[in-house]
Amino acid sequence: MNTLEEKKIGALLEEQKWEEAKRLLSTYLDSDLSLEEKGAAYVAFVSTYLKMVNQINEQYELILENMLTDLKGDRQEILALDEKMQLADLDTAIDKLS
Amino acid sequence: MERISENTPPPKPGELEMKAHVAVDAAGELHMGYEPVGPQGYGPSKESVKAQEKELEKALNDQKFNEDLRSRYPDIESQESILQYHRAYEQIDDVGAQLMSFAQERIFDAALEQEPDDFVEGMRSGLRELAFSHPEIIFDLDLDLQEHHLRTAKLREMEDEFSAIRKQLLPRLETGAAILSQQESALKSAGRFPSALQPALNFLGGMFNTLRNKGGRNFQSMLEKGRERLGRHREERRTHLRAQREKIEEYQSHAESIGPLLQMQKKKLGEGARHILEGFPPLKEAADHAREEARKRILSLMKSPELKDLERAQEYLDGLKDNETLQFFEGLELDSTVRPTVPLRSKEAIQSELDLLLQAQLTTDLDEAINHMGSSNKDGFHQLRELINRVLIKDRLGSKQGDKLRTFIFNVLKLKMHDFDQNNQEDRVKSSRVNALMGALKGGSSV
Repeated sequence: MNTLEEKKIGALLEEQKWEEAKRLLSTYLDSDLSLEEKGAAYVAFVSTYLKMVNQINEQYELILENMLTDLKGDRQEILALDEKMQLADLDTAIDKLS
Repeated sequence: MERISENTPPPKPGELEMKAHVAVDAAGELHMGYEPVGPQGYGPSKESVKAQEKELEKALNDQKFNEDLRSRYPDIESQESILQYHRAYEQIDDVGAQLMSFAQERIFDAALEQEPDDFVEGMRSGLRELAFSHPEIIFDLDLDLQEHHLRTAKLREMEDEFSAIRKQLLPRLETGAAILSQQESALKSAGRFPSALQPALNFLGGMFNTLRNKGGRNFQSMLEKGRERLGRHREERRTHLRAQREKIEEYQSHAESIGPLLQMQKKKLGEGARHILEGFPPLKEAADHAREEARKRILSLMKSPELKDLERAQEYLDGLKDNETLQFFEGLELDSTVRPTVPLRSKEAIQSELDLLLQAQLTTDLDEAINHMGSSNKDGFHQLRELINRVLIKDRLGSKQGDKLRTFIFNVLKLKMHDFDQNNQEDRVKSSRVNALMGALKGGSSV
């Protein structure tokens, strides 16, 4: 491979075929390259990494969102339970006084 | 969350003018894509055409851009294409800077003060090349960078909210469990009477028996019903408390386990992405460069005969991350074999060497300060005190801290005491001053 196939790499990234994208870039970098050519490969590499991080962050956001929803649900129920218990505690205290 | 217009190709010369668009809606969802400029379906507006003309004029007046453009496309005529290339060209600096800072933050080691030169230069040239060959890649990169910034900020906010709720819930649950215990023990002790009341109870028991005999069956049945009702009430209460206890325990276990669970999920996600970095040439180059830079820097600081430089070497060493982990995204540490191994030797080996250098240098400095001190040189004593106090305030000399550091200085001064000739007036003055300093060191105060 003599030229960096940005389009092809871009398509592989879109499909999340990281390994293939990496292989293409590595093969390209193994050849004798000018600074510009090498630079384009660097850009492709950092972009690959950036896309991957975005992808991971997106998945992580979903997980975090679900856990946050769970936790918020718990909070609502705990606050209601807490209120009931405080009232029951007050009843017990009043019973003791009377 | 999804990218709207995911399949919308980037604008091509001659098409309806589009612009990259990233936004967060009211529900906090991130939307990205291209949107048309001007009223949709009616082509560009008058304003848009005017703006385009202005933009073209700017592009044609940009000498550097024109040189680059003509060297690649000497016969280019299409105004739309010129505009497209110019837009990408204008974004190079901004996208390049952001990409570089992303690479610095996420890929290279924090210890590396600057990226490898050929990497920086290469990326700049690469971006310039792309602006003319595939301008849409530059636009796409810009979108990815914006997405990265927005999403990491959103994740940080969500993580903060997550921790805040957990922090709020855990103590509440503890209080809830304590209240529940009180109620449970109140229920257990209900119906029991303190022993001091026993005589009164015996009397009431006697009265009750008399009444029961006199009242006959009706009274007895009334009492039994009352007892039964009370028993039922207690049983219900007991069941209710048991249910509450189970709920609280369930919430407690959820609130405690959800944090580690989240961490585990993060790690799992990161591990899936690890493969792309392994053995990848640009990263390996950067890693080698980072290692070499760190090695040079620390060795040059360690060669210095100045205590301050050695302390700076310590700070630098402290700043180096352990080599086994790679910061992948906010909060996630990922084990990786591709992580730049900085420095060449293990941190521990360098620390031991640095410890010896620091201790030797402080001993030399103390020795010199004591030698300069004398009955005729009050400044010498002042300098010695200043030196000791400076180290004590820092409370750090390599691996030595606190009492270990004090003991080390104390022992150096004690050794120096052997050098003093008690028949010499000057040495006697020095000895008494050093003795005073040793007393202060032993007493745990500053000198």
